[in-house]
Amino acid sequence: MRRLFLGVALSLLLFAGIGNAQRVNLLCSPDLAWCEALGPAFKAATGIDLEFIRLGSSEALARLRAEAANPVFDVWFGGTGDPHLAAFNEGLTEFYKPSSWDDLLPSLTKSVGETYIPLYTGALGFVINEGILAEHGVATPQCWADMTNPALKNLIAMPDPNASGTAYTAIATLVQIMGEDAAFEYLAALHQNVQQYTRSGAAPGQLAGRGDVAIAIQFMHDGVKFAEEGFPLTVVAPCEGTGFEIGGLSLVKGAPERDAAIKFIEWALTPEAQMIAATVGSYQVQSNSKTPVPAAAPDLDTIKLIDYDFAKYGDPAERDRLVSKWTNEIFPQPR
Amino acid sequence: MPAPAPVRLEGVTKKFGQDVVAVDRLDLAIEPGSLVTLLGPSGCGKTTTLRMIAGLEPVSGGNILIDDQDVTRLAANHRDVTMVFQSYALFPHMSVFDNVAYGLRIARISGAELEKRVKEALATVGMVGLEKRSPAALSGGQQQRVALARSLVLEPRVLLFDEPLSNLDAKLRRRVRQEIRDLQQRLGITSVYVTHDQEEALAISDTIVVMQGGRIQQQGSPHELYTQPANRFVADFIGSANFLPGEYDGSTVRVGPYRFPYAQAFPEGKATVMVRPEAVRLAPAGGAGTLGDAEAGFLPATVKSISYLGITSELLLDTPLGELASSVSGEGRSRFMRGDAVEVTFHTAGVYLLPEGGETGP
Amino acid sequence: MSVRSISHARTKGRGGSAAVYALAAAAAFLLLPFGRPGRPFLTIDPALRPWNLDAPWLWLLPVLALVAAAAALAPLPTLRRGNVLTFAGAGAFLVGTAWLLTTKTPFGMGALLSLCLLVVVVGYGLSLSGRVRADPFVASSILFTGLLVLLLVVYPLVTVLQAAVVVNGKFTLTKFLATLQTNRFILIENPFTPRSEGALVRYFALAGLALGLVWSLWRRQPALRVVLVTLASGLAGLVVGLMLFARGAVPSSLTLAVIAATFATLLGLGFALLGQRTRFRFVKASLGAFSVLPIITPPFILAFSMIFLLGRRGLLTFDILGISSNWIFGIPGVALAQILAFTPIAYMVIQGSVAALDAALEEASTTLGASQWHTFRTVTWPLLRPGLANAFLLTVIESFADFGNPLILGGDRNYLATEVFSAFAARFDQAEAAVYGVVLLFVVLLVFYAQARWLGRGSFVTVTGKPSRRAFTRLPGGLEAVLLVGFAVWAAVVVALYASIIYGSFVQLWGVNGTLTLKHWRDLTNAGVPVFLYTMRIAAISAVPAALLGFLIAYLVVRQEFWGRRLLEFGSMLSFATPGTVMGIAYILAFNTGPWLLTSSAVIIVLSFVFRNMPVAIRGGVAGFAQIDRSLEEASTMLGSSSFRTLRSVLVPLLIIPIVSGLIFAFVRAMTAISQVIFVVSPGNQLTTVLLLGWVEQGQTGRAAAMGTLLIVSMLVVILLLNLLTRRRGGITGEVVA
Repeated sequence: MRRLFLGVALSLLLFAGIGNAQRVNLLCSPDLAWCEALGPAFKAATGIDLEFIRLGSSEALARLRAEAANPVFDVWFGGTGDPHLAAFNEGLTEFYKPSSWDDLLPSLTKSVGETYIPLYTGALGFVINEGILAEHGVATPQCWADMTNPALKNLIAMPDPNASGTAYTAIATLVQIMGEDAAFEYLAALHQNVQQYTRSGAAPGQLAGRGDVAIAIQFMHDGVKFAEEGFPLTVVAPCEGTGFEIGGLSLVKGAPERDAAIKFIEWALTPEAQMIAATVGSYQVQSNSKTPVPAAAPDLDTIKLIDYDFAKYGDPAERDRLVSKWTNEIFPQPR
Repeated sequence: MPAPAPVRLEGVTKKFGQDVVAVDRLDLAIEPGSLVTLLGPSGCGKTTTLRMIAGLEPVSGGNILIDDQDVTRLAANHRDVTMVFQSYALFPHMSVFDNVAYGLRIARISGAELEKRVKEALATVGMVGLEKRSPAALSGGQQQRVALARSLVLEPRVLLFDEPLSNLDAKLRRRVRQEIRDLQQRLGITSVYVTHDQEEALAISDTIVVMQGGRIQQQGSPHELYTQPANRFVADFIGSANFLPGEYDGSTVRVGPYRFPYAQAFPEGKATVMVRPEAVRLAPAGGAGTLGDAEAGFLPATVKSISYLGITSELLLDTPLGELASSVSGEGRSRFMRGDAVEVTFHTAGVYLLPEGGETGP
Repeated sequence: MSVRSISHARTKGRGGSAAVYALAAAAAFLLLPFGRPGRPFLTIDPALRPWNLDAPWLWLLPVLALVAAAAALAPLPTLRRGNVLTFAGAGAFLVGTAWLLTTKTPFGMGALLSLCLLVVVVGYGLSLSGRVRADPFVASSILFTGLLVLLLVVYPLVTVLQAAVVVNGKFTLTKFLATLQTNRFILIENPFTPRSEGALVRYFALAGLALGLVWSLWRRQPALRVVLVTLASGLAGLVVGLMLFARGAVPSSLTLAVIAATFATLLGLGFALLGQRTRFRFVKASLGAFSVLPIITPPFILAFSMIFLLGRRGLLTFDILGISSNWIFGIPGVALAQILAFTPIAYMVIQGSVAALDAALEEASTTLGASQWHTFRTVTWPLLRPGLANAFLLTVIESFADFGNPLILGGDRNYLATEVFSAFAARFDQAEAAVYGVVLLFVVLLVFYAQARWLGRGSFVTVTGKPSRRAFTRLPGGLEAVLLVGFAVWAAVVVALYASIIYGSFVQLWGVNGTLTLKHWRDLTNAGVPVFLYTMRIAAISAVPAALLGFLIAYLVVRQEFWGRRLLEFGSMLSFATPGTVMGIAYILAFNTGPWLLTSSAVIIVLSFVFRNMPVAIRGGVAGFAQIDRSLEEASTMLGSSSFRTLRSVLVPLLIIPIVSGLIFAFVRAMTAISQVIFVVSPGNQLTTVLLLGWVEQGQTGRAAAMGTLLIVSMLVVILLLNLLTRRRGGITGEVVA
């Protein structure tokens, strides 16, 4: 018996030995391939280890909240700006002004102010499987207005605003283009054509790629990525104009490895680090103005971007109001 | 071999839950080196008593002393008592050798000493040469012997037997019980033996303790119990017995019209007369007096049924005082047929008086 | 050398061991830091050394430990010594715990070791004082397992309950009720439809009431039964009404559970009859193999494969049958996935009942002149009924708790199990997630209770070695043909789905571009294999304590008598009944801060696996003990063995098969678990299933398929190894232990 208890005590000690190395813990919200590419490059540049967990931006925020009293992560990399803003307002992250702040695209730094660091930007659009559309004899929609065409019934997928920041960006965009009442009338009409609202922001493009639907409403750079992978997809920017996201980079308040975290942030904003994205199929426009824009990326200069009010629509109260309104007034409608 | 130890139970009580009393204030003194049998019908508390001596069952009240040491609160594995189980409980994943060596190894005996003692124990029970066998490859009788060897090898202060023969067939049972008795006497180990088989108890015991309802009904040597049962229960349980209403006047007993002398001390007045079946004598009706004293008379009866049992026959008789069983042997039995009128008298050696009702002893 | 003197020496020595433990507890207190400043377990922070802590009363711990040690060595009567050990040990334990709880400092190695050692001291005390009628090993084990279950099962669940009803530190039902009123939870009256769903549901409930009343009156049942039957039937009407007309997570999960359980049970019955009575040995053998599939299949993969096979552009539906429909997203698709996954489980449960059917009974009935149908109705059916009910309820529970299938195929409907995750992860709302968790837990425990109440037991699926069954009367030809065709279709679909996964891992783009490639496997070696190996390590580390602890608890529950025995059994089974998502959120809420800080470490993942998979080992152990005569243990005791030695020398060797299958099962389940660990993975502690979910969601289908193939193949190898190990016993199949 004595031997047994000794064994137990020993194994407890062994246990304690697992996983205690010093390193940057990254909460990574963009595409997995991008997250995976960061570690080796960062290690090569600075010699510091990096481990990450990929969580969508909403999930990432939830995780930061759950661990607020005792943070695990040092840096939150990527993901839509609204949750970054919410995290900042809730005191989960702190603003760190990187040395390259002035090199960042002024349009982005102006939009976010000193809340979080802009990492990239990308516009919302339609990701289209032309083959399916052709089968149904419908022309490729170019505008938001084309999407309510009854011939598109069951052929559209978009994310669920309850689960995805992308979907909320879409609703906020429509409200800013049309005004709230008209936007909700439009959403009700669109609802009739939507085959499903997905949990993840990138999932509609997959559905379109496989032919489960014809059109996905989501960020265009994700569509480009899917097309690069071989899915028969094309990308369209709506003619009325469209909203965009600002991908965020935040320093977690109370980060266990703050110094290493700051080194990572400084590194992540260099053109060299930002160029990694395009090599792994992430075609967002990077925030550092010195980072070259990849050829495949949707050219933001040719897209009609609305003057997205990040302050107003990034406010959690406004977000809750719009999402609840959608959940109660649009989602239950029969289709 | 250590000196045999006495065992004493003082007011030992076992309750299951709040109200079920399995063993009720039991007092029992077991002489060192003797074999005591706890005998009784199922549910009488005999096995519970044995398990309390073993330490497998917690005691609700009273004390158990082994070798004058109070072991009531001592765990079973520290009592220096071993037990032979009804199912033998041989470890199926160990060889015969390992089974016997098990207890020695726990006592940290090893090497040549271990080897020697296991060999000795197996020799004692006549199982030399089967050390490598697995228990499953042994017959019931062989398993029994291994179980015995496993218990004996530890040279316990007390050896307990829990119905060790009930899984053997009738013939083997007789042989093994004799072996157990011989061995026990040879080694002089204090032994407590539980059985519900009175024949087995009579055959092997120094002392039999008859139990019923958690209490001792009577204890004594097999002879005492058979010839002088303390009460109707004991009389009925040890052998078989007829019970007839009678009257005692200080010298003779009257049972219906039949009178016979009775020499043992007993208060005058009404009594229950216990008659062993083999003490019932029969004669064909009309032949009165052929069996004995004409003045004594006889009990008239009719033969109700006859069962042939080989060396004896059992005749069930109808008498004015009730039914009477009689065991008849020899040539004479062929004289009786169903429906015959017979005259009944008793061998007085097989007759014993109990107080009227006879539920409790004197 | 006399045996007697040896055993006496051992009797006296017991006090000495208690002293060793007590002194070790004091030493651990003095030498190691009692608390730790953050997550790492082995940080030595001088500020958290006992003498730097501003809590003089904490010194009671070593003082009491020394008192216990002194008592253990002093020539005291056993009873007195036991009492001193009990109270001094317990006092020291409580002092240490109180310090952790009041200062909310995470436990350090000093606290961990000294508290564990003190538990052993108390175990000695309880044993010596006779308060627990067992030896010190058993008494300590009871305390240990009890405390572990309390800390790692009961406490997290209480935390979830608390999170659902305590907002900002105040008790309130507002959040609870508000969540129940959202249309994600349940929406009965939909303002956007012309009809009134509320009225329809009411009609169904009323119709149920009326039907029950009429039926029970017609059957002339006693008054109480009339009332009960009427109410039950009304409730059934209400449920059917809700399933048909309401929306939201509750009706969705209900509908799904009823559909999946009904079909799985029927198919399970058919396959069980077929497996027992068909003349085709090949079918029997493949049934055995199929029963293992749901256990070794990683989540998401099968559902994902279904999209490629049965979706709008599915190989079978579109390319072969020419159907272009999106039926697969929503309840029909999830239901199909669940039927495929749960039929083997139902099959295994019903197999037990079918095996219990005695051919002689049926023959007897036939010789008494009954028709085949009559025989079935009066003999076969009543014997099968408990098994069917058991299978139905078990699949209902599995369906409610299922997380992976609704996540992939659920479309935009809500389900209870996924809402726990969505509320927590997507809507940033811990309280709402807790409310869903509580509701889900309540529903599942209700079904478990019904199962235990009506059937006297709950059932659990595991894999074990199992003796082959004897031959049986054959099925009527027509029925056999129907069942064979049914099985063939089912098998074809399953084979196609698994083949499709393998195919998907070798083509450029699953479902779009069929060019063969090894690209995904190359990707896997970079990004997936390290995680896979890490997961293997974690799963292996967790399987050992899961199997041993389960075996120990089974031993304590079956073979020992002590106060709280039923509670220990219930508590340890609770973690099995609890849906994984609920357990996941419970762990992150309970272990992220405070004295029991464990998050962001491999430890919490291992612990969540241990306590999740231990119940199956418990059931396996309980079933094993039932087959071992108690007298073997008693014989061992009578030969001088302690209960630990008996456990080691007699019981473990005899029960090695259930222990090994508990081990393998715990390992396989840990490899394929998702729902509880998705909440607790952390950087550096990534698991394959969580990675897999990311890939599936991100459209990395090839890599996901490759990982799925790797997982399935490696789990198959593990199961085959077990098969080799137990071949003597008739080979391995899935089995239900009850």
